[in-house]
Amino acid sequence: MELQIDTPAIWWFVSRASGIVAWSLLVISVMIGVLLATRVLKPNDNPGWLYHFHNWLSGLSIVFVITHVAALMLDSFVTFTILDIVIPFHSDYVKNPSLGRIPIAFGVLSLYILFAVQLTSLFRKNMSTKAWKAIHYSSYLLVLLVSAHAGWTGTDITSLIYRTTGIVLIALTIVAVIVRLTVTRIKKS
Amino acid sequence: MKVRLKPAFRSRLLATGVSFVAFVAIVSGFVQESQDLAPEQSVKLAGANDPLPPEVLVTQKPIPTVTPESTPTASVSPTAASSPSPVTSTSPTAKPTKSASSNAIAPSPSATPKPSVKPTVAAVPSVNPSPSSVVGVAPATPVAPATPVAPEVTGTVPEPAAVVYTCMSPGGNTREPVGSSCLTKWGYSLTQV
Repeated sequence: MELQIDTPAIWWFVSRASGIVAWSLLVISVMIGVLLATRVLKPNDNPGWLYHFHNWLSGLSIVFVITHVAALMLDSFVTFTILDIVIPFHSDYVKNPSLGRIPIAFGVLSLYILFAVQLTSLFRKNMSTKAWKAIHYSSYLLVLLVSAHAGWTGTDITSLIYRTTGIVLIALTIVAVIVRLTVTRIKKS
Repeated sequence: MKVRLKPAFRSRLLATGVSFVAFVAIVSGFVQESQDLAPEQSVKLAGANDPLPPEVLVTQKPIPTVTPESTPTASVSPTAASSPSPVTSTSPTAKPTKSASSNAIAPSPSATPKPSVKPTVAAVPSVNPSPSSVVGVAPATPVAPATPVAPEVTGTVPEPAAVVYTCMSPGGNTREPVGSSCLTKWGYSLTQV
């Protein structure tokens, strides 16, 4: 078999792969954050470990998101400029005509929310807990937007593995949200 | 020597390792997929191909057999009109009607003609002897009917503009179509040039 790697396509592959990994890391990070906030596993959990692991996974997801965006800019199949990446609805990439530019715009908005959550967590000591919490709650919106971005823009949506991964990640997010809401309500009552 | 890692560090290391291994595995999977499958197959597996209408599947324009009736006699010089055997002038650029050619992919120069490909009904060549193609017609001279002279074509039938399709990505990059479809998996769509 002749080995031929389509060099322009390699960035496209890197972009897709890093997007999938970043999505997975974000969902796991949100799940661990929910475990930390609700302490549903008490007394079998370790809050310190959960806290540091949550931070680590979030940082790791940032690395993969940057890889995702950088690879998109390097890729020659789907040309993305810096303006396409920083301005929502600027990119003319349309995968599904009925959705138009919405899926890519969701990705751009997710990027902003992710950086906002990360930066406010880094400078948490310099801001009020109320403000930090308000911004940190947008992580749920972030996962929702990322899931929509991945599902509607995802080139591999027809792949069974991709679909299974997506369904598992969305299911985990739903479980995390339900646990978060339920435990908070019980604690309040 | 046994290296003892702190549980927190171990879990971080594990998470990082698993993430990068997953990343490399997915990239390798994509590369492998692109190598194992022909582009057309991979597009079909992705379920994202948009086959063209049957007319477009004719990748090689049919070479029409032009009958003497369809040949405009006006393009033959008047001296040939009196020749014993009627000499017909077939235009080498005779092409199917526009209705068929508008859907056809322009053949690449390296494309070999397929004899099995037959033109559709709409692709039956018909050369219209339009008045615009009559060039240099002079009155026939009945004085010297004996010497047959080769036809002297003084004008050429205007060639209809060929419609070419190419695959264009949302970013404006172009690629040659694979068969009759584009790699829509990578965001390409068939675009008329």
